Amino acid sequence: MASNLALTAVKDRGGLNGFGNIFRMANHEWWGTRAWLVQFVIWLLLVNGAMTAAVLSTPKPGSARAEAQAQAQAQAGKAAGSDADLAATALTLFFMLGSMGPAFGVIILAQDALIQERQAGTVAWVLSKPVSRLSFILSKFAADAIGVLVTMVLLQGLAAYLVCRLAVGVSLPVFGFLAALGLLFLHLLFYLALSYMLGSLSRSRGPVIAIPILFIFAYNMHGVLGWVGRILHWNLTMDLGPTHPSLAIALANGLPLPTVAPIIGTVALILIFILIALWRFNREEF
Amino acid sequence: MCALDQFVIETHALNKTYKGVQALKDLNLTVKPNSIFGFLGPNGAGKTTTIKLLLGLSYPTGGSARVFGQDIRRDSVSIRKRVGYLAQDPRYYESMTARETLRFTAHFFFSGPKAAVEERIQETLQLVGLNDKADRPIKGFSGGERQRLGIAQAQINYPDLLILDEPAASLDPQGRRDVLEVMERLRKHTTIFYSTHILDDVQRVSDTVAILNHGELVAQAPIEQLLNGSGGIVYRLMLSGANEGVKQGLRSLPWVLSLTEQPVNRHVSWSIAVGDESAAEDQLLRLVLSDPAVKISEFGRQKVQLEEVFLNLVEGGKHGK
Repeated sequence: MASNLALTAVKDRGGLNGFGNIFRMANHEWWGTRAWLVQFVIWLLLVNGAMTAAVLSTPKPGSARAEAQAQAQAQAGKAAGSDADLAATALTLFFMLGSMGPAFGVIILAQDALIQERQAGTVAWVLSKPVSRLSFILSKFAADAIGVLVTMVLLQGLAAYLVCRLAVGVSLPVFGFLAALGLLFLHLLFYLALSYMLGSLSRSRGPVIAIPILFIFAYNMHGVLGWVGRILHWNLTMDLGPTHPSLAIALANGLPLPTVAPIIGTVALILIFILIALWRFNREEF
Repeated sequence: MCALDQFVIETHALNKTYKGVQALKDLNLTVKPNSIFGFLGPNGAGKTTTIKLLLGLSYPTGGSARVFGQDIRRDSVSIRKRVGYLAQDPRYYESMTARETLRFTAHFFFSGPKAAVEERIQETLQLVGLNDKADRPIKGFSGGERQRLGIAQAQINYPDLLILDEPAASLDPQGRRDVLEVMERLRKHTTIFYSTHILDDVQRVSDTVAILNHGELVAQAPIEQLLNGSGGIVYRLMLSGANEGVKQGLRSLPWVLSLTEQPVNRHVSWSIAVGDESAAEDQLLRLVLSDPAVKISEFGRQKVQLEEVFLNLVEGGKHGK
């Protein structure tokens, strides 16, 4: 057909044809709208708000309330709390709430990625253009992962760091805390990948939402799952007792990792989920 | 397009089965470059299935197909770089405006420069008459406006092949006329493969037609051939005052195959089937007028309507082949 010589054709990117364009559009849905602000505010209130409230309701060591509480604890035979204990409480709360609450957010966001597009008929339209199916899934996944990383992990982490510094008076080691946030991100990425996989396998929202939610609460069963329980994503952030310490809290306190098995297990599962989503989406007919 | 490509679309025994139901049976189709190819058939005949197979949105269960000489399974993305597609029920991201939709579409084909891309978008908006609505969200668009946007996004990449699935189905008569005009304008540069059930449109713009019924191809031919070939060459006369002698004289001629007569008000209508077109053009009218009492009010070659051919083929099932 007649063409405009001034226009430059896009480069052939093989299996990744169309990635950049869909990635830009998916990013726009996060950053070109108020979506990022909504996510940031929701989790700031629920995660950091709850953590801050807990920290502020605990008396500061040295204050009159703390003295009175210490006396009461001494009479009861308990040791008085220190700044470090308060920081530990804050971290435990942050990583517990920060991995459970935003996981719901990730599930709700991700279930729409494929099911909504399929129902609206926009997948068929986009795939009628020179776009590989691999690009379609990966570009949306990458944009969602970045949105989650910034609004649910990095900004929340920054707020939590400041709360520990200003309200508790404890400066956490920066690199250790950043590494801990990396584990929190990996934890949320597990739910993102799981939801994408389920969205590719099912045309109904029910299982795509319900199954990941079951995973959120199934941390209670880690004890009965044996070695499987020890390599799953819960161990990354949640403190599940002396035999299952939180890797993130250890890193945030500047301690070495007690084990890398949950990291390897979670990364492997994320890769498996993405591969299944790609395999299924590649076979789908529109 | 590669100079060696004889056909833009070529299918060989293409089959598609959905959950045990055969939607397409051994489809053999060829579409020549720069043609407007009308793909006809009743609902459920397999038209949309064929289009989806050609675009890689669906996969064949048997047979093969090539577009621009490239395999539809192996080279699907490469094929789609040269294709524009309008779906039967076009869907877009509702929050986007028409301009944003075209920009999004254009960036699958062009990386820049920005000014040239924007110019192409503007040009396309103008072509389909959406200039004044370019910056409104699509969710407020009427069916006709969506269809216009569909045509715009389908041809933004200067496609070598435009695939349109029922392009005029949801349009009012004016919208239909506009779409047909756009198609005629584009035919200079591109091949248009379009499915429809609006037979008037097909007769007006198509040069080749294929008719599909129950997933089977029942006819494929240039439209003139299809219209002429269905009932032989028939001339129609509306006259009065003819005597029996003229009729007998005509019937005795070797190139007159049949003559049927039907009264119409105070006139008589003759349908004369002939086997030799040039002899008929040369002699038929002269022979009838050799009787001075005959008065002719109409004379001409009887035109078969596509609708007639279509119904004969579709209702006749396989016998219509």
